[in-house]
Formats: sequence, C-alpha cells, structure tokens
Amino acid sequence: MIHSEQTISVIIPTHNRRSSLNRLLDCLGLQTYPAHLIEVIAVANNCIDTTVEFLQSYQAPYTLRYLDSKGNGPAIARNEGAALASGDLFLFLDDDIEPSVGLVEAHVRQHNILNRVVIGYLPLTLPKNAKFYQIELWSWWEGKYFNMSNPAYRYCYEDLLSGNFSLPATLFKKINGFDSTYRCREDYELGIRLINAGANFIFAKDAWGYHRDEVTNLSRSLGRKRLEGRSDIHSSRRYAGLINRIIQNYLPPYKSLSRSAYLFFTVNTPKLSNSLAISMQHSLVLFEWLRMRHTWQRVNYRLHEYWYFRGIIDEFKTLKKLNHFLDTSIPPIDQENDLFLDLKDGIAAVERQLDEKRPTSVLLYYGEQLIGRIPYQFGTEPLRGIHLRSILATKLSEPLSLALAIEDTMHKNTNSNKKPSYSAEESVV
Amino acid sequence: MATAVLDLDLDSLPPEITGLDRYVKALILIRFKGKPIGKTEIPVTDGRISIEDNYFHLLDAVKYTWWTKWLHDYLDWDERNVTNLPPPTATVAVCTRNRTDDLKRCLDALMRLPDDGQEYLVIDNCPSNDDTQKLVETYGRVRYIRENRPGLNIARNRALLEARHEIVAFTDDDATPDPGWLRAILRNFFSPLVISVTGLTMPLELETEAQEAFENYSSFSKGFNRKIFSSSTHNPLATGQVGAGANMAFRRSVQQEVGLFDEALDAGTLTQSGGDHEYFARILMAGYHIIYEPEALCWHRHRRTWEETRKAINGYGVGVYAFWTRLLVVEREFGILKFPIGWFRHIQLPNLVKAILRRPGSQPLDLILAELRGCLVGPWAYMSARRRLKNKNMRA
Repeated sequence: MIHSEQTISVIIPTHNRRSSLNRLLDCLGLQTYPAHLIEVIAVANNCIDTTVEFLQSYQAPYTLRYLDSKGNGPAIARNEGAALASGDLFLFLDDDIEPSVGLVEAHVRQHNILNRVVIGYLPLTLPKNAKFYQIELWSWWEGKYFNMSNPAYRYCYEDLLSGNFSLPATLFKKINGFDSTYRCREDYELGIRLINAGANFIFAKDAWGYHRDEVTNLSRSLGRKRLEGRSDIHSSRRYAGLINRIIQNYLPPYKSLSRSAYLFFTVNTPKLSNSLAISMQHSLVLFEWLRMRHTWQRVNYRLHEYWYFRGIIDEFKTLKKLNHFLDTSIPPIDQENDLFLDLKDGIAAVERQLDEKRPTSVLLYYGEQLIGRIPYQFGTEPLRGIHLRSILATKLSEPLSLALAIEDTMHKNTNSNKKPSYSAEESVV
Repeated sequence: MATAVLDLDLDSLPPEITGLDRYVKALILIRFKGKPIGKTEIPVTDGRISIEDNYFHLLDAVKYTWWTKWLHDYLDWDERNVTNLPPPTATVAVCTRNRTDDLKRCLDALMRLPDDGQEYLVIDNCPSNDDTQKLVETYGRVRYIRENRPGLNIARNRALLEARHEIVAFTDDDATPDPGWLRAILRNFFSPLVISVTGLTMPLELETEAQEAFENYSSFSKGFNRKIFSSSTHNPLATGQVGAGANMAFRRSVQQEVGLFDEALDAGTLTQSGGDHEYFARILMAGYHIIYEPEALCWHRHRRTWEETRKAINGYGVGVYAFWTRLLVVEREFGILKFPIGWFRHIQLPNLVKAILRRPGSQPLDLILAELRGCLVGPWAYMSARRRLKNKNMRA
C-alpha cells in the first residue's frame, strides 16, 4: 500500500507509568503528521495505578482507543493492541518515550517500498561523570545506531528494537505478530521472522525520541542476561541457525582445562558459582573506585557471559543435555545455494546482479581465480549491491588483491614489458 | 648538515630530484593520490636523488598502507564514508603570540583550503604590540580576537567559546596545514561517539641541527594508519600517541561534556605544555572516542636554534609531569603512578645511558637532561600554576 495519505496506528503497551504515558500522548498530539491520519492505541497492561481512569478522560486531537489488558507481558499487550488497530501502518512505541514532533512523519515517509520495517532512533546521552557501566552501555547503543545509519549496512534480526519501530499492518498480520511465549527478546524473535519474510529494514535517524524513564544498571543488565540465555535456547529450538551464534558468542569451541572446570562448577555447584559471581560483581565497585578500567571491563564481560550461560543451563539442567542438544541441532552448512559471480564483469555489474537476485550467500571469482565466499548468515538480510564493496575491502581484501596482482602480471607478460613512466614534476616543499 | 623535506606522490614521481646541494639526506613524505601513506629517508649524492634507483626503497617504506589505499581506491570505497550526509561545518582557530612571520605562513596556507564555509579565528594571546592585529586585518575572512590573559589553554578556551560552527579545528601559528587537512578531519566526525580528531604532523623544514635533533627526539608523527582511541581499547591516561595541539579538532560541545582546557597547563604558564594531552585523557576517561587521521596533514616548523629546542624539550618534560599531577590530584587516577616509572625505565634511562656512552644513534645528552630537569619540576609547576590561577580568579 504505497500512497501519501497512509493511516498509522501507534500502539503503546503501558504498565503503571501514568505520567510517562501522559507525556507521550501529549507529544503525539503535537506531531507534524496530520492528526486525522493518526490513531493511538494504549494497552494498559495489568495496571494498578490510575492509568485506565486517565485514559478514559484524556482529550486527544487524534483517535485514542485503549484496552485494559490482563495479559502477561508486553508481547501480548502489543498483539492485543494490533488486533484493535485499523491503520495501514503500525508504529510500536514504549510508554516512556518522548517523541520528537516529526517522529510519526519520519516513520511514514520511509514506507515508500513494500515490506518496509522502519527502526526509529532512541538517542542516549552520556551523563557527566558517567559510571563505567553507563559508558559501556552508551558506546554500545550509539555504536549500534551509528552502524545502522550507514547506507551500506547489512541488517540482521538483532536490529529490531521494539521501543520505536513501524511496519505495514499487512506484514504484521501475515507473520502473526509477536510470539507471546517470550519473556524477553520477543523483538529479536520477531526480527527473525521479519527477515525470513523478506522485510526491508531501514534505520530512520529522524524518527527519534528520548527514552526517558528507563532505569538500566549493572544488576538489571546481568539479570536480563540470564533471561536472554533462556530465551535464546527457546528460540534456537525453533531456529537452528541461532545455535551457531550462541556458540560463537558465548561458548568458544576450544577445549581447555580452565574452560572445563568453569563449565563443571557452573553446572554442578550453581549456588557456589552464583555467589562467586555476585561477589565478583561487588568487586567491580572497588575496581571502579580505583579506576582500574581494564580489569573492570574484563570482569564485567565475564559476568555477562556467566549469567547468559546460567540462563542456558537453566534450560538444560545438565551439561550432557546441553552438549547433546548442541551436537544434534547444528545445521549443516548449505553450499548449494551459492550464487556464482565474476568480478571480472566489473564491480558495478556484480552489484547490479546482487540487487536483482538478492542471494543469501555468494561465491566470488575473478576470472578463473576464486576470491572467496560470502557465507550465509542466519537472520541477516539477503545481500544487496551496496554491501559488496565493504566486504571486498575488509574480509576479502587479501584474496582480491592477490587475484588482481596475478591478473596484472599475466597481462603485462603478454603485452610488452614496459618500464613505468614518470612525469617529471618538481616536488620540493 | 641539513635534511631536505620532500613531498612525493607515487602517482607522479619525477625520475630524479636535483638542486639538493645543501643537503646530505632527504626526508620524504610519500603519498598515493594525494593521501599520505608513509615516510622514509634517502641519502643525497652530488646534490641529487635518483627516484628510479630508489623506487623499491620507497615502496618498501609504505608496503601495507599503500596496498590498502590502492585497493580502496580500486574499489572506490572508504571506511570514513559512512553516510550520505554532508560533513559538519568548522571553525579553524589559530592561537598566536608575537609571531607574525609564522602566522602569515599559516594563514596563507589556510587560505588555500577549499572553501566549505568554514570560519577562521586568530586568538591573539596577550600580545606586546599590535603587529598581529595589523596582519590579520589584511585577511578579509579571518576574525581577530584579542585575549589578554596569558596562556595557550586560555586562548584555546576562548576559541571554543567564540566559535560559531560545530567543529573547532586547532592549528598552531608555526604550522602549515595541507590543503586537504580540514576536509580530512571533518569526515571523521559523523559518529556521535567521536568528539575529537587529531592529525599527522610532519616537519616543515629540517635546515638546522636543532630541527633535526628535535625531529629525532620527539617526532610529532604518529604513523600512517588511522586509529580510533577509546577507553575500552586503550588506556585513557596514555595520550602521547593520540596527537598534538598543532593538529587537533573538537566538537564544540566538548566544553559541556568534559569541561574546558585546564588553564593552569600549557604555554604561557609555569607548566609550559601538556594542555593538549591532558584534554585527550579527560575526553577518553569520559567515554568519548578520538580518531587519529593521518590524511589530516600539517607541516610544523620546528624551532631553529639549539637554545630554543632545548627549552622546548625541557618544557615537554615539565608539561608531561604537570598533566600527570593533575590526573592524580584532580581526577584521582592512581593508575598514573606507574607511568613515570615506566617512562624512566624503558625510555629515559636507556637513552641517558646510550648518550653518556656516546653510542651511535643516541640522542643529544643535553636534550635528555633538559627533559629530566623538566620532569623534576613538573608537579611543583602544576601546583603553583594552579594556585596562581586561583588567586588571580579570586582577585578578578
């Protein structure tokens, strides 16, 4: 559905945050996008404050509808909101966001091609005298958005952050919305299905809003990590491709004594290892006070790794079951779908072919010579032409230069053996 | 015996360079399609250098950087081109005091930068006459600002406050920016994580023994690879390799994020230097990134006389210890305590022993001693400079 007068439903799950919601609804009344094309659906999720009464009496310039939901968790609330929504587009916002006046318009503007998924911008500002944890979080968060703002970025499911994104209603319905069995990372799981359905992700920096009342600190982050471990295993039962990612990130395949000991104690003496982890967490305060950044970073990383692994163990209970699961579920690498492309046709020609065929994996040649493979990556959008040059300049730079050098030498040998000629220019500074 | 400073591009190499009768060797900056990729030294024989004979010597000096630049050029790809947006606009600031000859060369070079709407500021720091003002008035595009409180960091702060554009790029009055300097800097400011960019500084001339000794002793050149410094990959206290004040730029908002330059540091105060490196450390500690961009090239005229050079090196010794003192007493960074030990054990002491034994390639002994003397007074210099500043501010 591509026309300029698209109607948009803003779906907001909310939980006991009346004043945040009030601010958000006020800001939605000031949008540059025409109010008659905006519909707002607030889903009060198990609220025990006065949210529902507030919604009953709120006077809005746009159509405001609300639901008093008894469902558990934001995934269900979002689905319930979507079921009620009538817009051409769905925009999901968290209740503590303070959107800029152009946010809705910026979202709508990006829906100029089919199956668009627009990821909005939630800038994080680095506070003065920031704690180490805040610095880490800020640079990860802003670094992620910055990478996405590159037109040559290749999107993956982890880029779908549920706080501020929009998509066509038809696409949301086609993939049956959020999976309500998830306690966390339900946005990533939706991202996987969207990528698989051929959605075109795009990051819109001008669709920005401040994330106001979000409290993030180290203990919350570590607690979340454990839930993420659980939900990633939950997902990888459905998507075998995820397993490689989990192993890559958190379970290095190498075997060493300390690794085995680590696994053994984590699984068999959970109380002991948990209390050890908690005391390490307390030691971070000391490291920060002493400004031991490097030590702090290492311990912090290990702790996140530990609690993620704890989440995985929560799902399996024993190491044997985990290993069995990993051994039996790793998908074989599929090489048959490789698209063969020859760089001798010219880089622009190869880019055009990529845009036409959108392959998930490619085998690149330069004439007779093999340059290398751009392998299939789980949950990552199919290749576009614009991805090619940065892959050639980074991952495949060596084989490419080698191929070009051989080509050049052979070319020179067949032609005359000319000496390099210099233009004589005075170049004394 | 002087060294010629040459600037050659691999794309347009002359077969030989003549007229070098005054020189025994040449320091060559090697470029590829205008971008600096390396440097090397070649001896001069009979007043000439044959480039054809030294071709492989040149290539050997640039190997990896040349290969990467060549490939990126072939692919028409650049890691800095991360967005379709235009780069931010800039204010170029030159802080100066009574050095009109140098300043003229600097301003002439700045006028050769392509005009992208940048603003030019000259901060005249506590001048003893109005020569600078008269000179600046002959350049229509340059805004003259007089700052009467002496101190390079005071002048830098004034520039941050006066600047009208998003980025403030600093160069020294004794530096000559390359025409591509500013654009190269600005292309690195797209990421909100980056709040500062530094560049490559090469010697403008090596005509005197003092200039050669200075270049050997403390070259400003930090290599030909672009580097991203952040506290997660680099010890934020070790800022010697990040860059230098003759060639650095900041987002103007840096003054809100990490504060202004420390006015008790750098030229014009007892501490004589260190203001730039202290600021880099504070930026990294706050969590921001600094990019070292070798394509942002400046040429720096080193001091010509031995006396001036010794004084400058002494000043570096004072400044380094002064800024370390600040890190300890103001920022409470205990990690700084291992720096003096490491520097002395691994660099200063071996250099000192080599110089005393007159080993080949050793540094001049009096420069080493000048630096060590500076180090000894550094902490005291910082504490007194701070006290003086406080008293002055109280009186004001």
